[in-house]
Amino acid sequence: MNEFYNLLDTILNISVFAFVGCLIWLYLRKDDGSDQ
Amino acid sequence: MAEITTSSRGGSAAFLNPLLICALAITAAIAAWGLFDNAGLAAFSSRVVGFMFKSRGWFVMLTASTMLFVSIGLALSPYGKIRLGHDDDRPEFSTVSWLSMLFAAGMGVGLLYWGAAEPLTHFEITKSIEGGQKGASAALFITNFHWGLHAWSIYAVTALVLAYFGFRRGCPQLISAPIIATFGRRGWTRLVGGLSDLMAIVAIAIGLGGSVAMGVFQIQDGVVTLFGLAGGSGVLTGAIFVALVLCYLLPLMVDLGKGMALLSNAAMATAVVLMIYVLLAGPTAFLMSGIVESLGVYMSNVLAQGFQTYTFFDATVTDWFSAWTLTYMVWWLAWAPFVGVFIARISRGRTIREFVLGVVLVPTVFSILWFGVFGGIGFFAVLRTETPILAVVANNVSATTFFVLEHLPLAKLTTLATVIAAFLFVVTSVVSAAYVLAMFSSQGDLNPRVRVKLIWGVLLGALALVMILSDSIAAIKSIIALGALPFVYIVLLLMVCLLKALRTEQP
Repeated sequence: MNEFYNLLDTILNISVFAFVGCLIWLYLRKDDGSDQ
Repeated sequence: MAEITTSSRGGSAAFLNPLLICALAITAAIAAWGLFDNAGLAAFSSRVVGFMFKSRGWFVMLTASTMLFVSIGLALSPYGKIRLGHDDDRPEFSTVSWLSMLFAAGMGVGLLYWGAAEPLTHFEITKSIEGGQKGASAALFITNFHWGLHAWSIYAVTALVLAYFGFRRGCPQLISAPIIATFGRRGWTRLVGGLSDLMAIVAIAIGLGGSVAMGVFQIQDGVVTLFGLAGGSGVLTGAIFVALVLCYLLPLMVDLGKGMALLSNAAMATAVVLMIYVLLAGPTAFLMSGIVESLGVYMSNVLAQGFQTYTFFDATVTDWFSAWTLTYMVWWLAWAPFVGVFIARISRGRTIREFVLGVVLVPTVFSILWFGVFGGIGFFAVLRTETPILAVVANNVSATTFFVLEHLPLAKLTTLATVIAAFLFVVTSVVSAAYVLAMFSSQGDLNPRVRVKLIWGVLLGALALVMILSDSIAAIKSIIALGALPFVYIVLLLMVCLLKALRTEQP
């Protein structure tokens, strides 16, 4: 059970890094395709 | 806080849209789960939230600190001059009225509930970390941290995004609107936007349910003190709950216009008068010294505390950190969409700089004063008298404020005032929340239909009943945190939308 939690913990934290990476990419990219 | 409830009946959005159906289904399912298996829901939420906090507590703290730095950065940058609206728009409300309304919306009944109890609750832990007399100062600091700059920055950024896109870019007042306006109407933006709206609705509904439950506990203890009853009973709790539900359902059916704003301001004024009374009738010199000291401690430690995760402490401290600091930060996130819409609505015409200063700094100073007075008088009882206030806090948190008032002159009057203020705070909060929920679930329609508002009013009542049945503040806090966790991500995405949109401005 402990190993399962450790794995889940790792996956969740990787998802946080991936999310922050996406945010930085969204902020920096130029072709925002805004419809405003 | 109820200018936003001055809506008329009718509305153009389709009544049964997919978002409304999904949101109603999810919140009704949570309410049904809680009603039929209350212990199961409380145990599940506490397990999930416990695991999430252990795994990503650092990210919650980092998010809260980021909100603070972004708010301050925007206020100090040239973008601070940008007006939330057209360049010739001017503020709709006077600054005093604006500050009073936003504070009532953001904190409301929580202040009455936790005023004396929270610092005393932390005292048990802080005196073991800091030792002896420093523990009181540290307990006040932690309380101020929970209700201070970080909390209000979370509100400020959410409100700023909604106000900027709503008033300057003409977008609907929806959480999804800034995402679609910034990145275009694409498959992923519509999906993420739709999910954001849905999660905002669920977070608001659960958060408000918890707030109503706390209000009921507080009012019940006030009534018990007022009439000298032996203790709360199921009948009394039920009667207060029914009275509250009836009192907020009526304004949802009948447009009370500015009347609701008046009720909200009356609650706020009562709270302020109560604070001044306790300051003057209590040990004034002790309280003023405590306030000055806690202001200094707050100023010198607040930024570092935003990064404090108590990683190297034992389980008692880390559990306490999860149960309080992390829960509070997630709690503010749960309230952010609701309070954000409200603050945005009353802030049209203000510049980003005055918005941030007003929303972040002024309420923080008021919170320090509030806890300095109510927490301070609690510590006076602990450190200078033999009053058994710590036992009261341990047995019944919601009775603490009344216990403090009982030891001052005119106890009956101040207890009655507290009960009335709590009642008004809860009623005005639920009326505004039902309006915001109806608006979110009617595609941003500023005049949602009465029946949609009523459906939300009833569901909020059912969720509150679930929380009341749990009869545990810890369970209430973990259920709220469970509903709000996804919002950690949404608030960050909204922040990126704002920063990206500001790049196109000429400050």
